[in-house]
Amino acid sequence: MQNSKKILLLAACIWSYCAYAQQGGFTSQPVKRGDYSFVVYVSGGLGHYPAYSKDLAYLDPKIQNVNPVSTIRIMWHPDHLVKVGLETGYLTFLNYTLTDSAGQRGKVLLNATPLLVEWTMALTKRFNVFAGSGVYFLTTNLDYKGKTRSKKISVGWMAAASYIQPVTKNMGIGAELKWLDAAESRDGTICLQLQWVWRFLKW
Amino acid sequence: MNHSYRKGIQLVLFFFLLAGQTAIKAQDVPIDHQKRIFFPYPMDRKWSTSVGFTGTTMPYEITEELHFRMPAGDVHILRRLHNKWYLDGHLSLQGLQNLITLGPRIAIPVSDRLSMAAGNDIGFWFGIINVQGVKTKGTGWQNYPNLSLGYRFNKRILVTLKAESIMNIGINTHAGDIKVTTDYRLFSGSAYTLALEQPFYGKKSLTLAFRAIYTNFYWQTWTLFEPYDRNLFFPQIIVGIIL
Amino acid sequence: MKISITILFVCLIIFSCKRNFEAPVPDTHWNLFESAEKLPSMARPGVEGIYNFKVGSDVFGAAAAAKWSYSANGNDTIYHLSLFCEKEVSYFILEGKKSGDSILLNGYWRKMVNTETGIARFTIAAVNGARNLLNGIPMGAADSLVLDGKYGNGPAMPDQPLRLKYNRPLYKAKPLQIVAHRGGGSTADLLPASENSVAMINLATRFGATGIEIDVRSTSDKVFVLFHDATLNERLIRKNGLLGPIENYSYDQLYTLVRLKQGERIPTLKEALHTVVYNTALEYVWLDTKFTGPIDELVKIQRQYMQEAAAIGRKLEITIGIPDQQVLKNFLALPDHNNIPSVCELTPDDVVAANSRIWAPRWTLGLQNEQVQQVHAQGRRAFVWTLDVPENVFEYMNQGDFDGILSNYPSIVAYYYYAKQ
Repeated sequence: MQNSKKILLLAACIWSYCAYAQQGGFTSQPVKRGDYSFVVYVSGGLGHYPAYSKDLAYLDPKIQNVNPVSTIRIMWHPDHLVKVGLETGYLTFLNYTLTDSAGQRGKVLLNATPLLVEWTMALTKRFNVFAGSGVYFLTTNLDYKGKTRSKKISVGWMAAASYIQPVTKNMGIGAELKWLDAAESRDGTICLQLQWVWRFLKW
Repeated sequence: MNHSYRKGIQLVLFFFLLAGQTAIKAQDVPIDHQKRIFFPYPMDRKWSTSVGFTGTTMPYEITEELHFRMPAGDVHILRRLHNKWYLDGHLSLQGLQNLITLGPRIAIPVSDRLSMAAGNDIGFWFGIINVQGVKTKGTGWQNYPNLSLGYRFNKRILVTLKAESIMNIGINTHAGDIKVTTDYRLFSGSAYTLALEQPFYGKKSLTLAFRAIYTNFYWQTWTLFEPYDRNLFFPQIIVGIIL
Repeated sequence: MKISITILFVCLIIFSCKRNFEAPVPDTHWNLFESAEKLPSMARPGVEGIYNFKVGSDVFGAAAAAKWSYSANGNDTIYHLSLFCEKEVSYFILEGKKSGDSILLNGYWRKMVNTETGIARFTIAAVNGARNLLNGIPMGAADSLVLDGKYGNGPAMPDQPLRLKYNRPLYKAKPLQIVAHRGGGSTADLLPASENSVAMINLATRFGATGIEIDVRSTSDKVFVLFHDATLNERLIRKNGLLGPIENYSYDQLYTLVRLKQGERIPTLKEALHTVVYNTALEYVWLDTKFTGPIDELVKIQRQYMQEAAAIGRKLEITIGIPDQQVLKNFLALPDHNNIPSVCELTPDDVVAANSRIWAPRWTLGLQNEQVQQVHAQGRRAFVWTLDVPENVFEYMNQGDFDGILSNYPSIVAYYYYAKQ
């Protein structure tokens, strides 16, 4: 239940935040019936992937706990609540250096490019939730007694919540809390990103 | 993996909660105007039909290195019977193996926003698949007693939590001429569905649901002939358009 | 609001209840057993046999087959008495000691179809046969041999009674190779060792195996290692960030960086076969060839360990697996392939082409009695793979004519075999 407590605490914080959301400007909610648009979300930030030193103790690891996560998403905003789109990007799940029993050092990087179909819904004018599923193209980059690059495709998921502050009628900036998980990476990364949102096509 | 699933599920649930929490200022829409399949409420229309698909992720324990998601076509049909009673029919279609379930429901509104339903579905699955040159055949009867709890938010969002008990009352599989299993697992496991239904394109509605299945026999895996008696986890995504 | 919170709580509670399945071997420490003496070797053979459950049949089935196995480590040899039971693929693994004129048996039990396990303790009282066994008196009238004991669930102290009464000797009339899949069992079955590990190979005979099948892959620097899946993945290894085909990595990288689920290293084929020859009583090894390159180096290793086994008087057969046409092609390219022991999973014609000692069809192809007899007529043997459903094991054992059965559950094969009359 430890996780549940954390989630509830998070829920309370975000709920409070949402309650103060202001009106006007950019919104992901339908502008009016019949409006259709494409919206691009460009996001960059940092993610945390749960990797514990004790699990890798035999490698004497130095784990980089926070790693960059950059994503781009295009959503189709029709005149109803639920919107659909695609997201891709580049992220690092796991990043650590190791030292073997002979003192030789090495480095492991597990990177991923997700390709996810996503659904989103505006909860308020500024606050949106996302959920999606698809594949992750995973790449291990190992530098220990030679360099090895190894790839694997994995099924995966995502969930996110974002808050967008309007800048112009078709543009906004925001922040997004996101969970990205590939089945083969064992655990997901939870990341916080800054976001630039642009409604680049409307008809 | 399990830890990861759990965290993800909790996050998704949390977003579902927010969906309700943040819709306070929106215009209310009466339930009669909203199409629904999962939401437990007496039917106003004679028929209600949903077409979509499911994707079920198979556990490593039985599919080994193949960690894949198995898609299936999904057709859900409701037929109003009398007052609070209706029939719930469901087809899960994969061509070579399919499941059909049918059962009555009684839906009881508890308050203006809250309602619940109880039902019992009888299911029958069958499949004929050529596995590496060997014709395998399987059939089975199932029973799904179920309870649903629905809450209608005022932004045309219907959230339903459905709990089912999974009873396998006959599993018969053959590989070629060899009879592999004749099994009876009364309490095979349970399933919990969290479904979100809301208006979509045109006059249609969209169902997005997550179903957590814990069972010692999942009908889509009958060709694997596993003798396990462990309640493995099969996460399932359900997407449907209510016509 | 309250309702929403309630719904959230209900959901969180439900979805937080995902079970992580485990079946850890319980702590079997027993003071009385620790202070007891080593069991004389002459006492062991008489204990083997088929026993009927007089108490406990509702949990473990009607009967059990008791069989000793050993693990050797230099001059130190440890003997285990396994009881193979019918119900839900259950077994006991016990060590024996002498306490006065009684025999104590201490260990654990496990059901393979689920995660049930627990401590098990037995006593063979002097009047129930121990006196005769300890004095090396042949158990001609062995029907007086009785194992009285208790079993517990999980780590709990044993409190449920058990009573087994000797019925008859083990069946051995027609030999059967009981071949354990992946070195002894699958990681998914929550055994105390990982599949395709040295630790698992050491356990194989305790599970009833007389032979093992192991999966051979090649690293980027052409070292043969044991690994079933084509890629490193969370099913088989602990989280370390390494993914993708095992052939992408060098042996040094795998040796240092990868740990199997139970913490073992990925073994080389040589380490595995060394263990088979010097630490176990296994008679047969099936090398499942899971790489597609030349196999001449594999044949050299096969020869080396068969010679080493012969040199110490060990009866051991190692066969190269031919699972597909590509491996068959590589095998036939070997100049002396006719003299290389192999096991071929393809058609009887391919078996003849490769001059394989063993034909190994998939079980779903059926009993194939006619083809099996034809293979026998050619002086070859026939093994069937991979039989895991107990009813099918029984059917193949009693209606088929196979000389070997490959299974993830060697204990159930052992039970049905030794219990034959």
